[in-house]
Amino acid sequence: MSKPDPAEGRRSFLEKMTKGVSFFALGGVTGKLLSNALREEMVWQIDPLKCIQCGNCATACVLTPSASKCYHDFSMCGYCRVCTGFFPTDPTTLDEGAENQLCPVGAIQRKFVEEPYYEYEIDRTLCIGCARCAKGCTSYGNGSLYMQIDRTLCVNCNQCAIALVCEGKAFSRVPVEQQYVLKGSRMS
Amino acid sequence: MKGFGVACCLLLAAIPGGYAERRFPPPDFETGYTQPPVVFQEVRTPVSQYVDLTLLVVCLAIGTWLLHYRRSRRGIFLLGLFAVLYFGFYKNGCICPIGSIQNVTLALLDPHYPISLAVIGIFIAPLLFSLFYGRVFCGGVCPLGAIQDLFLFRTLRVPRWLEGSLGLCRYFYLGIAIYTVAEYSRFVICEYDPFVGFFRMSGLPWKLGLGAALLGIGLFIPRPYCRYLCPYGGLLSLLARRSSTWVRITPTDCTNCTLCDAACPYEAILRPEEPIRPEGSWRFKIILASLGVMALFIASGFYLFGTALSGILLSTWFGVVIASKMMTQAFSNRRNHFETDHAACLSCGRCYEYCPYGKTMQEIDAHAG
Ligand code: SF4
Ligand code: SF4
Ligand code: SF4
Ligand code: SF4
Repeated sequence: MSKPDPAEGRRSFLEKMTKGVSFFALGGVTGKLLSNALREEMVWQIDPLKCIQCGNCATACVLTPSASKCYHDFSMCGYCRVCTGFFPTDPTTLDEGAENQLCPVGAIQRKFVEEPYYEYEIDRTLCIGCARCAKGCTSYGNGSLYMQIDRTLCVNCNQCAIALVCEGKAFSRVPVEQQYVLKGSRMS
Repeated sequence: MKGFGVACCLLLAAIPGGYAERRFPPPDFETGYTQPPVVFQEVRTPVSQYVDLTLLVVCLAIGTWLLHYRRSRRGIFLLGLFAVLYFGFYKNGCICPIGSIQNVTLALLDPHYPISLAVIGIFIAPLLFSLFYGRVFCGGVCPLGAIQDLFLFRTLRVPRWLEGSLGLCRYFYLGIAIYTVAEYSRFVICEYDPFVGFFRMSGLPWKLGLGAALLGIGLFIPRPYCRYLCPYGGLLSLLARRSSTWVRITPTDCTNCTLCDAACPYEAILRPEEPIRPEGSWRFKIILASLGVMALFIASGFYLFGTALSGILLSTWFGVVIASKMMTQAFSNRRNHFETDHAACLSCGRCYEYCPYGKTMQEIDAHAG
């Protein structure tokens, strides 16, 4: 391939140079990146204190049903006589009839504890992440029902599709070591 | 990722109330009832990302070996199949080197943005391989490329000028993606990724439709995403221009039989041609024109974006892309034989099978062991 053509020589010199420059540019970028790199993986999670229960979680996730689910922190629950996470604001009767439930898929199970208290538990295999119960609980109750991304379901999109439309701007990446953002742990 | 799931219990300590929503204190239960703990199921993934990075590098190494030493199209094909199955369907597509452009940009611009070591590796490894061995990543490691490769049916020839011009869209897309990251911290490459919906087997209908449309186009114009849209492909192209090793269609002497030219689905083979060196005055005019185009884009940047630096840079980038394409027209190379265009070659290895000398070489290899 080597011809004693001066243009050829010039070209190959130029090529070597640009190659060197590319190599060092790549190295430079890597170095800069390493300076604030983390060892851990980052995963998407909802900050429950920022969530305004807009309901976009249910529809925006790339998964159907959404990877966003409701969790019940029993330690925060007020065991209200009329649970505003379970019942709509105008229930006809205070029983488990579907027309009396706020949850569109009946994912909240009510267990009798003692008069007049009930324990409300979420069946996350049914929950579609609509945040209605969390809205009811946060608006009128203790806010012990709140949304979190179920980390066993979420595929950790590089750009979380819910984060783009989340009205509370509640999504952020958290280290995989603390993959849930709990309301309780914030308060101390 | 789900496979790595390890269920684990988090006991929530009862912490004294302190913010607005805690309206009602929990009652005193008479039956000795205690509140059950909430179960947050954790996925332990600290190692899984390093497993992926290692697999990526191993695949790149195997790809290089298959392409440059085994010269095996079948090997590259199988590697691609593995990539589709593992990086695509098993890992659900995220995070891939194409998307990592945005994480890297954000990390470079915003020192508070956390980027993990593995993501840096996933971004850099294919680029480094490209600088030394050409676009091996595109050949059989990229799941997006490989899934398009499976849909190749007939090849319509695209004229060189059109191929070259449409290829510029990759750099426009790259510019827009970086701009959106800088301005809005939004990852458009991921948002409009046409194939990731297939890997997850769910997604918005219009996105799945976009992917299906691209695969449909790909039946006749193979790998349209790679050739005209993929911003990472654009970066790989730039580096592959200077690669030390690249796809050499024939290991011996090319006899200009033209078989390889017909074999390449991606218009990546350059035909022998006499240098049509533009005369001095013409070359001068082309250079002048491209400088003019650049000035035009910079000016319109100021006009459109006022003093917003990122907007002006974006517009300048568009100008640079077009101007440098124009400038390359002012210089041309002499070629006596069929050669691969390093920047456009997707390292699929199809031409090897068609070159009569390539075949003999494979037979020799096969006999040698
Ligand atoms: S999209 Fe955001 S604000 Fe709306 S329910 Fe989900 S986390 Fe809450
Ligand atoms: S990262 Fe993806 S899968 Fe997870 S919650 Fe967001 S959109 Fe859903
Ligand atoms: S051009 Fe882009 S999408 Fe195509 S194979 Fe290469 S990196 Fe993948
Ligand atoms: S390996 Fe050969 S056939 Fe495949 S893209 Fe490159 S030049 Fe074309």
